[in-house]
Amino acid sequence: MEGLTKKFGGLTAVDNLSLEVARGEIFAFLGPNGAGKTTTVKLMAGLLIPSSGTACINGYDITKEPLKAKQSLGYVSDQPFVYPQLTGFEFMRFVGDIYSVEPGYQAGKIPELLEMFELSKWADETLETYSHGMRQKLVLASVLLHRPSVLFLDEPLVGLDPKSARLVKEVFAELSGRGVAIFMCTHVLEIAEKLATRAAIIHKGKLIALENIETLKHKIKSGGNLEDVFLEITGGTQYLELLKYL
Amino acid sequence: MRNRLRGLSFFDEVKIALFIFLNLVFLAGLFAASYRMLSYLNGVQLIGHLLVNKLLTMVFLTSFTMVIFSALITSFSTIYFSKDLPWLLSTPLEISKIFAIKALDTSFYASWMVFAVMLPFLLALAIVKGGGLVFFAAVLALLVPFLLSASLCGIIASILMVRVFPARRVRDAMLVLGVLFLMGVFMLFRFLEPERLVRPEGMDAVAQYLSFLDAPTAVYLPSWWLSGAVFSLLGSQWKNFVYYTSLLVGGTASLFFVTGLLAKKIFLFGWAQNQAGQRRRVAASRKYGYRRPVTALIWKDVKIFLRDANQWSQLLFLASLSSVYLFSIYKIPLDTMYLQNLVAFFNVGLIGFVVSAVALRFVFPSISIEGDNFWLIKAAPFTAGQFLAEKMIFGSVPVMSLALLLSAASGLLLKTDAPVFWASVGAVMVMAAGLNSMAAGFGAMFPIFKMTSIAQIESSHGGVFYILAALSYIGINVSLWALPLQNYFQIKFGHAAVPWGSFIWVGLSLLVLNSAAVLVPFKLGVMSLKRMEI
Repeated sequence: MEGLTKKFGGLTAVDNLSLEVARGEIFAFLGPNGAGKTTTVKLMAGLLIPSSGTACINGYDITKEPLKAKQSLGYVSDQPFVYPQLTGFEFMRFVGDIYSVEPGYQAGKIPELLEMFELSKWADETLETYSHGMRQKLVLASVLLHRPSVLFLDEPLVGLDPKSARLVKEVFAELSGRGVAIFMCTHVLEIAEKLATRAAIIHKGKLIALENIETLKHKIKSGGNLEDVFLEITGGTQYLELLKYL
Repeated sequence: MRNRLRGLSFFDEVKIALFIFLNLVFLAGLFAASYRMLSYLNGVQLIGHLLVNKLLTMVFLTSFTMVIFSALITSFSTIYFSKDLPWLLSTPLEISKIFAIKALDTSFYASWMVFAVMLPFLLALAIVKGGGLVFFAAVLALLVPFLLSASLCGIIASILMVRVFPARRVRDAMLVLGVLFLMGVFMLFRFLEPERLVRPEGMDAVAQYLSFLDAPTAVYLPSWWLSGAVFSLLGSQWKNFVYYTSLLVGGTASLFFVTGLLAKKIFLFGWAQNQAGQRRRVAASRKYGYRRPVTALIWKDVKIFLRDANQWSQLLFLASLSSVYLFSIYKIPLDTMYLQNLVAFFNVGLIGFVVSAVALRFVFPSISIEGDNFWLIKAAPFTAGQFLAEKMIFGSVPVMSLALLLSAASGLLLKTDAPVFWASVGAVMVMAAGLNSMAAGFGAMFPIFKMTSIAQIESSHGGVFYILAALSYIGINVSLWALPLQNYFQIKFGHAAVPWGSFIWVGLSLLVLNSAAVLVPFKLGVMSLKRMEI
């Protein structure tokens, strides 16, 4: 992305962001609530239109060549909204079809993905009965069906049980090994610290840090973990004082 | 409230003004019709008061039944699936108190429309019977326990049913039953030809007729107690008035007590049982045939339509609407061929109106009902044009089928000339295509993704704009068709030569108008979808 900016009326939600994520890289995009993380991801996925600047996915500009860009990317929103009247299997088929995935490939891959995310047992049940975590897993499974080159994930581990969270982390590592670029917004700094190779911190729409994880950690004098770095950069330490009054 | 009023946009203000105006017109029309009917019935010699009393009893009984059904269906959204109930139940408030608030909430939503419709009817009654304002005010006061008792019956039924069956199933079944009930009342009313009922000579025996009029209707129901109180009030029989009012108020209080008791004893169990979610297994085929993205969207919409009782039950309305429409056409007394063909011509406009209403129900909301799932559509690699085209194709099935059925069947019933028949079928079909595109285009221009019901989407300002545009379109279409029809009769009766110039002019105008109706809303809808952000 180059000079990416998004304004909502008088509010600048994303302010002149420029960064690049390489093939096979797991990139953590961090920031406090309302910093502009979700807006950035939505801009990259084509759900929002930039006020200025460009975003390219796999070499395709998302505003100029949206279909080619969207075919290359997979997007997982922070809220796993799905059609409640469809079954898990039907949802996978629907996603496969709208991404023009060959039927033969779907026949092999859908059962495999459902099995991997432990949803096979529920595949013929309508999604209205799925829990939040099950829906999240289903959306993650569906996004892998069309073999995207870039994944945009907004809080992908929220609502997942520890076993599923571990599975998802392993899936990310595996995909990264195969050359898939992963752009991940998260509040769980431990995951970013363990999985990501690079991280950026966004605050009030502006990029305030963009470093290798290890370099980020060395930036603070105390030499703490990523949480300490995050709190120091975004000014979160001031709240520690307030905690005394609770 | 003040902040909400300040926050209104120009569109909102226009919409609210139009909404108030249309409702006032509707209520005024209802008052005029009620006044005329009650004056007529009351003026019938000897049995006038009996006729009025019978009508009143029937109106109260029908309202009572309607509110019961309405409360039963409403209680699922206000109680069982309400989002604030889990939080309310976690607070240290007594269940009976929480339930009492929810029951009053349900009663309001279930009965306000019946109350509003009854206002002009009761006002007309007060005027016809010379009851005056005090009588009118007293009857309105009596309506409160009456409507509350009906709502409480509905709520009690829902508590008992959910205790035994899953809430979602009961709600779906009740939705369908509710539609069937309304459809039945609508069709029965029309097929009974109510215009015949006010003629006593139509009955076989006068004595039988009189005893029918004088007989009480469902004496153990609050509808009869209300009727009794109203009759007593009109006849200044104060003892009877106190008796029936006590029955009405006492009965409502008892129902409130029973509701509270059931709320304490079994409501929580039924509610908790439904929190786990009802498992619904669908035996899906594992065939992996090739589907284009647009075909996949149609497939998805068909599946959802067939599984959502809210959506497919509307087809029952379509069926009843069509049969009542055709029955009315069949019943029109037409003596001359000219009259037959003239009615056939106006029929084009009327069918256009019916089709526009059906498109408002089936096509206009189709973008909005994607709801929160629209992210999936927006993130997928297909164009806004493909998406809107799919909605048009899907919507065209009910819209075009209804247009064809009504135009062809009414043409046959009217026994119109072959050229008039084919011209009206063609005109209706072309108009239906235009209306379908307009509904899809307006739906894309004014979507409401955070909707709670299809009715809410229909009554949005986009829905109002669509209807206004549709009515103008139908009006222009019909007026353009008037000229060739007139020419046809002139030629047929040998009064004129074929006016080719006029035919070409009208043909070109129709071509431009209908092409614009199909293409412009579609184009605007696509542009709006492209600009849309979620």
